[in-house]
Amino acid sequence: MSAPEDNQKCTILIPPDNQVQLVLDTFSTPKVKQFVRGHILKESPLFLGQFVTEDGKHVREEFSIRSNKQALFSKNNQDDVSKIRHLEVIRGFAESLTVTVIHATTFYSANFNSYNIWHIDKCLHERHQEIESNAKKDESGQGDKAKMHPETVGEYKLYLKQFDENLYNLVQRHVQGFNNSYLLINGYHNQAVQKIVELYEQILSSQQYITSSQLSEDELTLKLSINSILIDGIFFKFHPFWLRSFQTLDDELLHRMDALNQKSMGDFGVPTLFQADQTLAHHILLILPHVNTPIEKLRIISKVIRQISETSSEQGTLTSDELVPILAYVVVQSKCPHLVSDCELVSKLQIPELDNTEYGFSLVSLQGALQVIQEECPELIIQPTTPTNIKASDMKSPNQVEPETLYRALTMPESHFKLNHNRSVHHSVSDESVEEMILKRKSMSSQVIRMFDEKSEIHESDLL
Amino acid sequence: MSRHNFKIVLLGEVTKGRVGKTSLTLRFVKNSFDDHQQSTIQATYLQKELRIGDKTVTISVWDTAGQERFHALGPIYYRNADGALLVYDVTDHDTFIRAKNWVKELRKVVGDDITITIAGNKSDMKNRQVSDEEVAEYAKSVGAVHLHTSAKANRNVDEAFLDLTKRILEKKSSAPSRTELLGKQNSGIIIDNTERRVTRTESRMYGKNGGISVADEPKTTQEQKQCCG
Repeated sequence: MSAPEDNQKCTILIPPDNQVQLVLDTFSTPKVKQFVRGHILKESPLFLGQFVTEDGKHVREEFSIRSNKQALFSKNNQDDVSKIRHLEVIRGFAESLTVTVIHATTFYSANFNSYNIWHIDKCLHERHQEIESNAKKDESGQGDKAKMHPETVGEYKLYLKQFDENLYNLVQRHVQGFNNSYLLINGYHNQAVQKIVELYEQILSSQQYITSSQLSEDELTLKLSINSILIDGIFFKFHPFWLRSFQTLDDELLHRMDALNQKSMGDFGVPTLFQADQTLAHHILLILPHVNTPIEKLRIISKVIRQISETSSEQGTLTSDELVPILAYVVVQSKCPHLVSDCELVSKLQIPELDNTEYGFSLVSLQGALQVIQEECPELIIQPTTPTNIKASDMKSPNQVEPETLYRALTMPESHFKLNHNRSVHHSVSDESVEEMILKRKSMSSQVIRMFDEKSEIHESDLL
Repeated sequence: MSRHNFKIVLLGEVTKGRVGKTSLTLRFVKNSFDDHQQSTIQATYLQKELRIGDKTVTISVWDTAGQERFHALGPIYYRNADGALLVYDVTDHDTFIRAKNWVKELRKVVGDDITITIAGNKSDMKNRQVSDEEVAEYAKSVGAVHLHTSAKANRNVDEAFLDLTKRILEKKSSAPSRTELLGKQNSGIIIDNTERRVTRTESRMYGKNGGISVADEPKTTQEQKQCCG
C-alpha cells in the first residue's frame, strides 16, 4: 500500500465490519481491490474540502451540528453541540449518497508520514450495502438468514446491532477494556477465563431482554451473539496466550498423532462393519483452528461427527462405542493442530446453555477421542519445547487479499484504533506477526465456514 | 407452560455382547415418532420432546461408550447429567454387576442429584440369571427404580423413560434448600432455584471433574438469574 509513503495526505475509510466482511466473502479479488481503492481518499488538487478516490470518483466533506443529549448535565456550553463530519458524493457515483464519519484517527507510517483512518457508517458504494437492505427486508417480515440464523461472527454482529445497538456498543466497550487494560500472565490462564466469563455475565446483567432461565430461540441467539462478539473481539490478544498455556499438551498430542498415523481403523478398535472412508470428516476437522469463537468451533465439531455418522449410516446403527474410536482415527489422520487448547477453549467459554445439546455431546465425543489417542500411545515421551512463536507463515491463506496494508486496516478490530488514538502514538502495520496471523485467520474462517455450509446445518431452533 | 431440558446418560455393558441399550432408545424414539422428535446422530445422541402435565420436557439421551477400555471417558459424559438409564441383560448376571459399578461411579462423579433408573432388558427371554429380589433390593438401596423392559417386545420402554423424566422433574421441584444441604454436609450441584444455585459457568471454571461442592460464599440473585434452565 503506497498511499502513506507519498507526500500527499491520504485518508482511508473503514466501513462497518459486516459490510467489509460481506465484500471479502462475496467478491473475488479484483472486486475487493476495487472496493479498497474506492475507500482511499486523496485531497482534491483543485478544491479545499473535496477528495478524490483512487478509482477517480469525487466526494465532498461536509459538517453538521448535532445537539448533545447530555447538554442538561454539562457545565460547559461548548459541550452542548457536537460537529458531525459527513462525506457527500459529487461525481462518478450512480446515486447521491451521504455517509457519516463515526470516528477519525490519525496514524503515521514508518516514515512518519501521517494518514487518517475514518470509520464510516456505511460503504461509499451502493452495491456494497446490500447486506443492509436484506436486513431491512427481514424487519418487514420477508425473512433473512443472517437475522434468523446467524452463524459467523459477522452475522452475529449484524444481528446484535440490529437488535440493540447500545448493547452491541456495550460489548465492544468490554472488548476494548479487556484488550487495553487486562494483563495476561503466563500460568494464569484460568484467571483469564474467569475474567472473560465475568465480562460476559456483566453484559448479560446489563440487558433487559433475557429475564428467564427458559430461553426462547431469539434469546439463545442473543446470548450467542454477545458471547461470539466478545470472544472474537479479544481473540487477537487472548488466543496466543491461550496457545502458549496449552503448548506442551498440544505438542504431545501432535507427537502421538505422528506415532499412530500408520495405524488402521481396526487398530483403534473400530469394527470392520464401520470401517468406511472418513477423508471428508478429517478435512472438515482441519477447519477447526481457523475459526475463533466457541459456537463456530462447536459447529465444526458437530459437522465432523455428522459426517462420520452419515458415512457409517449404511453400515449399521452407530453407537458411541464405534463413534469414539472412529473419531480418534479421524483426529490422527487429520493431524489437526491445537486440538487440546481448542477443546479447552470451547468447554470453558461456550455458553452453558449448549452443554446438554448436540453441540455439547459433540465436544465430549471429541474429548473422548483425544483421551483414546492418549491411551493408545501412553508411553510416548515428549521433549520440553520452547515457547510458541506464532508466525504469519503458520496460517497461510489461499486467497491473500491485496493490497495487504489496507486490507489489514480494514479488518483490524476497532479497539486497536482507539488504543493508538488514546496514546497518541504512531501505528506500525508492518511488523506484528501475531496480528497478521489473526487477520489471515479471519479471512480464512469466513471462507471455510461457507465451504461446508450444508443442508444438515444445526440451528438454534434445534437446540431448544 | 414451563419448559425443561434434561440430559439423560445411557449406560450398558457391551463387552460380552449387547445388553440392548441402543435398541431400547431407538424403540422409545421410533415408536413415538412425531414432528417433535429429532433423531440426530444415529443412536449416539437422541433428543425427544415430552409433555408431562403442564410441562414440556426435552430430553437429550447421550449414548455413552460402554466398553471397558472406554471406562476413563465416563466422567466427561456424566457431567451435568440429570438422569441415567442403566441397562443390563436379564440373561447375563455379569451385566448386572457392571450396572452396579456404574451406579457407584455415577454417585462418585455426579453426586446424589442424578436420578437413576435400572432397566433389566431382554425380559421377553426365559433364561433369566438375575433374580427379581436381588435387583429390587439393590435398586431400593441406591434410591433407583428398577423396571423390566424388552425393546424387542416393546414392553415398558416408554414407561422407563417417562418414569425417569417424571422423577427428575419431581426432584428438581422438591430439591432441598441450601440450609438443608449444608446441614447434611452434602455435595453436588443444587438444582433448585431457591437460595443457592451453582451456575454451570462456575462449575466449568472450578469443578474440573464435574463433582461440585457448594461454596459457603453467598451469591447475588443476579447470578442465579443467569444460570440456564
